[in-house]
Amino acid sequence: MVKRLLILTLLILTCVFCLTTCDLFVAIFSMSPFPGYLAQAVASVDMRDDIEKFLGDDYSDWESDVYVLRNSTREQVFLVVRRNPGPQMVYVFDTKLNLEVSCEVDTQRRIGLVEALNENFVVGGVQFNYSDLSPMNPPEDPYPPISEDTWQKYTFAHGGSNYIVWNDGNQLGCTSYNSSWGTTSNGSALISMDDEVRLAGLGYEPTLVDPILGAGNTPVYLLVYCREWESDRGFLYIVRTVASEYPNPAVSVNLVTDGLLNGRTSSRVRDVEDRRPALYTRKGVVVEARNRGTFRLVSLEGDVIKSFYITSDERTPFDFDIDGKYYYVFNQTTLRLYKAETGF
Amino acid sequence: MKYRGIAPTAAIAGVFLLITTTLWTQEAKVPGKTFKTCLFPTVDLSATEEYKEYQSIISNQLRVELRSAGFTIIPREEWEPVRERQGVRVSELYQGGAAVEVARQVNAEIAVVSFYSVEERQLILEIKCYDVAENALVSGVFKTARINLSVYNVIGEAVAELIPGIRLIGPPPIIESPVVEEIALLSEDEGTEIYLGDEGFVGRITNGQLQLPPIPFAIDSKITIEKRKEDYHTGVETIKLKEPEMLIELKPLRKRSHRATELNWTLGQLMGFGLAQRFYFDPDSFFLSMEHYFYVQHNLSDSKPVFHHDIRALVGGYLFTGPHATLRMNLTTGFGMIMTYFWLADQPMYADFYWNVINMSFELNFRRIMLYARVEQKYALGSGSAHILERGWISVLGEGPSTFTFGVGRKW
Repeated sequence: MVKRLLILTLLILTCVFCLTTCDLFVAIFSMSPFPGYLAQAVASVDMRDDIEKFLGDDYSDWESDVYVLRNSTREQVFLVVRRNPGPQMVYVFDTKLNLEVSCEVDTQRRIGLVEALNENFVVGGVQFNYSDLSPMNPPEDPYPPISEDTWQKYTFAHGGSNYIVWNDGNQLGCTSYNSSWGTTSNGSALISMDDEVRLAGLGYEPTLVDPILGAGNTPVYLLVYCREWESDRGFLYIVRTVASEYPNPAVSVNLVTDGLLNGRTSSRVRDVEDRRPALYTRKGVVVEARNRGTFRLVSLEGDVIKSFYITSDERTPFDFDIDGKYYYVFNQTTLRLYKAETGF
Repeated sequence: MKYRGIAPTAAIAGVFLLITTTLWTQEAKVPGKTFKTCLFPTVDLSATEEYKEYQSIISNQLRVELRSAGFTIIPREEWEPVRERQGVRVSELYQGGAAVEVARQVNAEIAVVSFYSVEERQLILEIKCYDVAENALVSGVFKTARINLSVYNVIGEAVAELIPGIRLIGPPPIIESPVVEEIALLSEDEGTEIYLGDEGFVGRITNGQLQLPPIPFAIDSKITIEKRKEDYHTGVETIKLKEPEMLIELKPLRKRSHRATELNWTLGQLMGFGLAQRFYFDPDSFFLSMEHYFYVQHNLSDSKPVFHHDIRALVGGYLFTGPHATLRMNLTTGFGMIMTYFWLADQPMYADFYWNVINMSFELNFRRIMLYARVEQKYALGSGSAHILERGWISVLGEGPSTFTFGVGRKW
């Protein structure tokens, strides 16, 4: 009897162990009405006092963003809190979530960038010194000093220039600036002739060599969202471009008819949504699935590596470090900033 | 105008019309049986003799009707000596007691008496029929009418109404179809009282069975059996009688449940389980339920577990089907709170209050056990000093119902 029970227990444990390697089993068992990052958290910081002090009493209309930026020497986590209407506050943390600097600015800007000049950090209208994180511009003068709106636009800095990239219909638009943010040129590329496309994210990779682009070509991955109206389904394409070719990247890809042409465009990543930006990490691209709150890690070739649940609350901002090891989430209810392991 | 002048002609015409009609429309309905009937003369109870001619009219009509319906009329010559011997006057033969005694002496089965009175030209007519053996009134007719030509119609109606009542007496009708000779009920519910539709209480299950008393149910007829036992739900079964000897195994009764203990499993909370206790206000019908669900939030690989305790109180009740039904549905609503704490150090404890707006549960109902699947809809209140969930619908699926719960319950 005891022997039978022992065998049965071992059998059950073996089955459970095998099932834990099955994505569907894991997805079902790790479902929760609570955000998934709570169970991934390795650290958190309570920002209630600081944020309530900034927002003041009886203030309900506000929003936040999280940026994780790395330059040659350090990685920082930035939390931007905006009053609507009103000023915004930028909190700067190290990767252990120790608050290092905070800075209030009068004008709202949505930008997060390691800029060309000295690899300073530019977040939410504030330029932070690359070495000591001291704010370098006065609160009344937002940085960078450009008139261009950066809403739903993506940025990167390469070769001493700063670039702002966006899509305008089926054209990819790009403005390049020199290191002191003077305009140098504008450019564009055709990214699609059919369907609705939108630039959902951008990944600038200064370190790794892309096997298709080859050595010496710093890759910029365009994360392009496309909606097919017939099926009402969303797709993601990852388009490899070369940073040095901007603002006129030498790609002209019709995603509908020749999506896999010359190997620069990934295969379709099916059943994704564009409620949130797609995010590049060195483990792959993270994009939200149709099932709200569930995200997919996708290879540059467009293969789904894994699915995981973060949160279905669209107000919750998060960003990944470029290694794809951790992500940082700000819970607007508890006013806590979490550092969570990706498990990638 | 005096109707008496036309009375003889009209009476004869009227009576013959009625007789003819009656003969066409009525037949003796008791095959093989003719009742010996003592028909006594109609008695005029009027204050005057002005309307005495109705005596013979009514008597004759009754005689014709009874004969045509198959009754055997005992001649007056037979019962008259008896009446005289007993000292009963003819004018007293409207009284049931006297009439039945005379009829009994001549071995009649039925005694029919009739009387009338006329006051201020208003006829009051009464005809009664007695079962001699039972000394009981079995049929009676009471009529009133104005004295005019319509009085003959009223007399005809009264006689016609009397006949069907008489047919009720006598031995039970012969059932030509085969009947069930024996019905035995088997039941595991010792002491259950058995009731049959029209017969009422017929016995109690003893030593697992009950032999029903001999009631000649026809083959292929249906009987409805009601089962009653203290602290059990009353059960009703309708059974078709197919054979002359029926051995019927009754379905077991359902004990009234006053409490139930549940073990359940909820999607989105699969790494844990819930325990609930129901308290029925009304057995197996309306209830209050207290539930505690403990679960761990984990991704089955590198996660730091988060612990949740979901505590809620629900009230609800069953719809559509009763406690004997195999498939039942209930609705519940209530309030709850989810307490959350972390494996990770230096984290606060959170409490999320929610309104469990509606749960719809489909249940497989067995005697002591129930298995159920429940659709739940919860709304986070977003209140309290430390909570994680924002105000809004809670859902583990992103959209649609909050979650699904599967459970098993033991009824007590």
